[in-house]
Amino acid sequence: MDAVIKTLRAAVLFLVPLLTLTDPLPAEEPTVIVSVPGIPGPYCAYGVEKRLYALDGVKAVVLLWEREQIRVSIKDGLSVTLEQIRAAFKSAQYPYDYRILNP
Amino acid sequence: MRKALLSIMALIVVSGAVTYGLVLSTPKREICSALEPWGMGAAAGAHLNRPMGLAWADGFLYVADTENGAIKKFADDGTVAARWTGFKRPVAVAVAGDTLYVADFLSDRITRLRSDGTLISQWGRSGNGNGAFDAPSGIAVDRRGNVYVADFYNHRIQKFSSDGQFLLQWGGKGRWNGQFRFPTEIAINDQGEILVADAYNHRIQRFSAQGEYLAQWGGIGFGMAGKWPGWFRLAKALNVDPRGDVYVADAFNRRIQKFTGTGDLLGQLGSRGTGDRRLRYPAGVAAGRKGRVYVSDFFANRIWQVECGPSRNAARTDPAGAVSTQS
Repeated sequence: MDAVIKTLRAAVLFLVPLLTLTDPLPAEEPTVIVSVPGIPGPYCAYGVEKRLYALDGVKAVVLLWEREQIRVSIKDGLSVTLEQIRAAFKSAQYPYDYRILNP
Repeated sequence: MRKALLSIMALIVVSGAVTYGLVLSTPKREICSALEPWGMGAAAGAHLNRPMGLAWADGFLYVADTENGAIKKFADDGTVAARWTGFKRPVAVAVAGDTLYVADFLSDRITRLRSDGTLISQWGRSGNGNGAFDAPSGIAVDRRGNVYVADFYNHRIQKFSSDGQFLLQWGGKGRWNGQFRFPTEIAINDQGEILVADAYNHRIQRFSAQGEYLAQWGGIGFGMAGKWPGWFRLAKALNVDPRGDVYVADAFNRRIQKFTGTGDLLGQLGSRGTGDRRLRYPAGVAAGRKGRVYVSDFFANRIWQVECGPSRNAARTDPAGAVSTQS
């Protein structure tokens, strides 16, 4: 029994670093995080999401409901200005406070 | 001077009494069973990610599984009978016979497909002209197959033939009769009248099939929100049951209110319960068979069911069997 456990432990110790090496973290892509405290419901968020997707430089918009944040990924070689992000919120008629966290 | 003051005071007292009589003293009557979880989400493919619009037809519940980009069809026992994927933000679904209509909020498109998944047609583009959308948010189909779409950012309703030909539109932004502030959902009653959840005017408006304004209810008009019985704080979704009663998802008040077809309050449901057994954000409602009502809870990622007892007019033909007009 002990021998089995030792073998399994050795296998785990060998495999874990191997898996870590073969699954490197993805290269960091430029993102903007917008804090939307107390975001109340779907239409506020989906409206902003829609307006953000309309920007040329936006690659993806992820709604992080639990964190009350919206994460905006930017396409390689393109950029999005803070003004464009603010304009997207305004165009979506987002009625609450928000804050761009990592300009 | 003294007389004038007395008259003003009397007026205030009288209007206060009338307000109390009409509004505040209305009983908060729970008229159905407590919320029961439905379709527990454990079955393969049953997990929901921000469910919104619901439709019930022929014994199946259709759910707009918004952040999974899918429409799911559930059997009565909560198992997944079918699913359709590839949407961006499907927020509403309507079913007419063998045909599904899906409103996609992000892509400004209506998709029409057969229940076996075959695409029949798509229509819509971004914009504010006839046939264009800026975030379609609700959809319903009448007995003739005409399709009505709530056009969220354009503050209007558009009517199409079943194959997507533009027929007419009405609305515009505002608080007056026939205007909207972000309409989110549509239902059609037995008389073919169109009921619209005028979400940010916190009211329900009723129209003829040609878009003529007929009536409204909720608050005291003019976009007044409230927590009192018969008022709304964001009238998010609605549904008409086979007997013509109207269920309204009152999102920020975390309840469903039930009305007669002309807007008389019958009571509320879903407001009981605490913690996990409390509605968090009712985003869709659908009346099923035998008084059962389904509610999608956006933030809880689940569907609830409540039993609302036998029909008040059970002898009437169930229109949902022929054409489901709910989303």
